[in-house]
Amino acid sequence: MANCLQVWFKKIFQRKEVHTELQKYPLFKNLNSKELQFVYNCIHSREFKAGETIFEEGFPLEVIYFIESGEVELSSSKEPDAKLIVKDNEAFGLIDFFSGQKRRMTAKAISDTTLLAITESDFKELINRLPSLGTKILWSCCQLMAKTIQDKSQVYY
Amino acid sequence: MNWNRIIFILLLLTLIVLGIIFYSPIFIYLIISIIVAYIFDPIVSWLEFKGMARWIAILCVYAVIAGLIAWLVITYIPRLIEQGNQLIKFISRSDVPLDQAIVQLPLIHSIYEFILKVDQTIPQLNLLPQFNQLIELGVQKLGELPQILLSNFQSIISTVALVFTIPFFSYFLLKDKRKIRQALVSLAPNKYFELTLILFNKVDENIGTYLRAILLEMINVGILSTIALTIVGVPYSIVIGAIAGLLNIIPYLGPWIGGFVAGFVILVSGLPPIMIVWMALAILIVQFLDNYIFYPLIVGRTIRMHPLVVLLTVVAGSYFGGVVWMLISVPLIYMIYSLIMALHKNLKEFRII
Repeated sequence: MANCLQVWFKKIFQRKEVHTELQKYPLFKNLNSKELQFVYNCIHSREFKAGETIFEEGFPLEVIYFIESGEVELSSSKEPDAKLIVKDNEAFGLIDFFSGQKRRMTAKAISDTTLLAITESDFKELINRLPSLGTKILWSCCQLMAKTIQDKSQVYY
Repeated sequence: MNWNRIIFILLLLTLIVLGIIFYSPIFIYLIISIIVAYIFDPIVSWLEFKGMARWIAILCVYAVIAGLIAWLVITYIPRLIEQGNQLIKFISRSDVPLDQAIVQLPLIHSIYEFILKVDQTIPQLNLLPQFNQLIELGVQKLGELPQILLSNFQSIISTVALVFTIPFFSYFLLKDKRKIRQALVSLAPNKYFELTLILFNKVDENIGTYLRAILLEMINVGILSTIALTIVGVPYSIVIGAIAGLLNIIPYLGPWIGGFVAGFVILVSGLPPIMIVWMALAILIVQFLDNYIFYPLIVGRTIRMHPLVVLLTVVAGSYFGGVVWMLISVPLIYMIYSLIMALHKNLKEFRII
């Protein structure tokens, strides 16, 4: 009986590890459960069919996309040959987020794709309101960019 | 377009219309709860980011508000009861008729004397009979009051019950704010997803900023007016200050109406008329302080519309639906205006039009 109660209490007061699935994205891999909860609260999930355009070059930038499943092709009218395919667990729209208010490329879903979107304002609010979370995310951003610079093939990231 | 699709859309429309008819009586309560939710949202969000669960944060805010209300009630109810007792004593005196008894009440008596004085100075005016008639009418209505209460018993009970549901509505609106937003945004097709988000943020931000600005302004002007009127020596300064704060929501016209109320009170209570000048000066100083120091400090950036447009909107609102529309017309017009501006800009940028 006492044992049973103890287990029950443990179950109630245990810190639940939630939304650990978000840790598969490099940007969020260092976040703890509580911080992931905050991130999860502002995520919008969208589904795109194969061949559907996600956004076009020159559109205003409002969200950063994370690919849950599927493949997305990024292309630019400036360099028609250089097409980049982004796959699961990767993000796109991140460099535009830091560089300006316009999309630099067109994104198109190649296969049926599930995307997670975070708006720019939510992202900024998270970073401002929770400095520890902000530092972790910005650190991951720097790591991603460093990797991008080393590996020139991923200029569009 | 095939027939099945048309039938489906027709059925859906019917359902929506039926839903609106069914839910229409509670729209006003829903709107009030949304306003309450917008006012408390920054505090709740702040507490949430400090590490409190959202529902606990809401309950804490509610507890503080309930405490404030309880404090006000405990402070003011005894005085009210005292005055009520006085009133009943006056009314239940059988040796004088009811009309006479009411005229004996301090406030009404002073109004009575004031009118008497006016009548004596301007003999053609003959205000006194009209005033007596008004009092008779009031007494008559007062006599009918129990009857009215009894015959509308059910609707009064249900209204009171609905008023008490407002905190519950607000609780869920506050707690599930993000879920509600996600659900609404998920209705948008992929092509309009980012556009919907932009518009949603814009409207959200505008409503929130405006409501909070109004509330802070109201409190600020109320307190400043109370202090200023107390210094000048106007009686009932707290009540007049509160009224001035409330009326301050109406742009440009509100402070004037507040000034008239204060002037009326000064005349009625038989203070020297020169007090009106001091009172007007005090209100002007309050308005000056508010407009040039506190407003930019508290609100910062909010509605930027040309004063002429604002004034015309207020006047049109008063013609359309009285004081309530005077209060809501400016934010409503501003919201539609900013929404259309944002819509136009973004529709162009997303190459939809």
